[in-house]
Amino acid sequence: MTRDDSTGSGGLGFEPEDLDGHTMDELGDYLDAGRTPADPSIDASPGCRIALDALERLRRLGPALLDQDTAAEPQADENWVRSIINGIARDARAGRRIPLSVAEPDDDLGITEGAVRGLIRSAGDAVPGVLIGRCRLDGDVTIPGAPIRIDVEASVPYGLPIVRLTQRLRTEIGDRLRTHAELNIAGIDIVVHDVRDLPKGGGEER
Amino acid sequence: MTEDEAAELAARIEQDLLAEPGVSAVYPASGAGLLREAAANLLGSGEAGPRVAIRTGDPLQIDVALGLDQARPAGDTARAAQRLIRRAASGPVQIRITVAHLDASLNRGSIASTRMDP
Repeated sequence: MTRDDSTGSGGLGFEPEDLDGHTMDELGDYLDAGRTPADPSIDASPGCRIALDALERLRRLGPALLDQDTAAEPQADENWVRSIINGIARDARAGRRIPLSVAEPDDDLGITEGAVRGLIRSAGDAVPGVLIGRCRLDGDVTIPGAPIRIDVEASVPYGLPIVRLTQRLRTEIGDRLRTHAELNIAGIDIVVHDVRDLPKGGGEER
Repeated sequence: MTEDEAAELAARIEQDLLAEPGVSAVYPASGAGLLREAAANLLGSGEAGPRVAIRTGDPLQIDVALGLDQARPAGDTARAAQRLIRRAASGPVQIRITVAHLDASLNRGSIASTRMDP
């Protein structure tokens, strides 16, 4: 975590690839176990919670996605799922602090960049089969009103019109950001990074 | 305000925050708080103290980190939390609120009803 972490846990000496002392593999095991028994050190960490949300999302696309990645096209994109997981770990960190408006000048309200990236990732839930990989807030988010561009990489299912999917994803992201983050969004750029077969199972019910 | 009074106020604010619509979690407000909880868990005591950080003085400084659901705009919930803390402190206070997590789970009902035809 960085110095401007919301919870100030940057000085705890955890490894940079960890989230408050937990690896993504540990978080995956925690999900496998149904989050039981409860691990307070995971549940008390916003970064872990953001990462768990994203891992759950990945898993809802179904086991076929994982099989596909490891068996069908290992050379095409080295290890796509691993890259997504690494991106989740990176994006779940608190990052910069984005101000929220407040009438009292002595008070300081804000939302972490990690929480906003988690919000952007959740927009993928509304578009069937779409999975958001890396997302970046480009611009000085710490200055109220500064123009910010959102850069998102997405994976989309084969057989659905990419233009419609990305339009819908852009709308979902924009709606969520307008509702929850008081940012001046100058644009939302979506790069389709991957087209894959729509997995049977979890993806169909979304 | 004594340390004991501050701890009591912090516990009361934490309880009130958790009852506030839109607030789903109160997280340790500092790295020290996170570390204190980790140590308490390791020792099995479960007595890490309140997650709301209060620094006594004039003004009182209160620092909280929140997890919110997405049923209500994050800014609105944060400002409601700020008002709640002002009422609880009942004196000069400087408040720092950080939204550290937006819980997506409440949206899952609407996700299930969303479809797109090829």
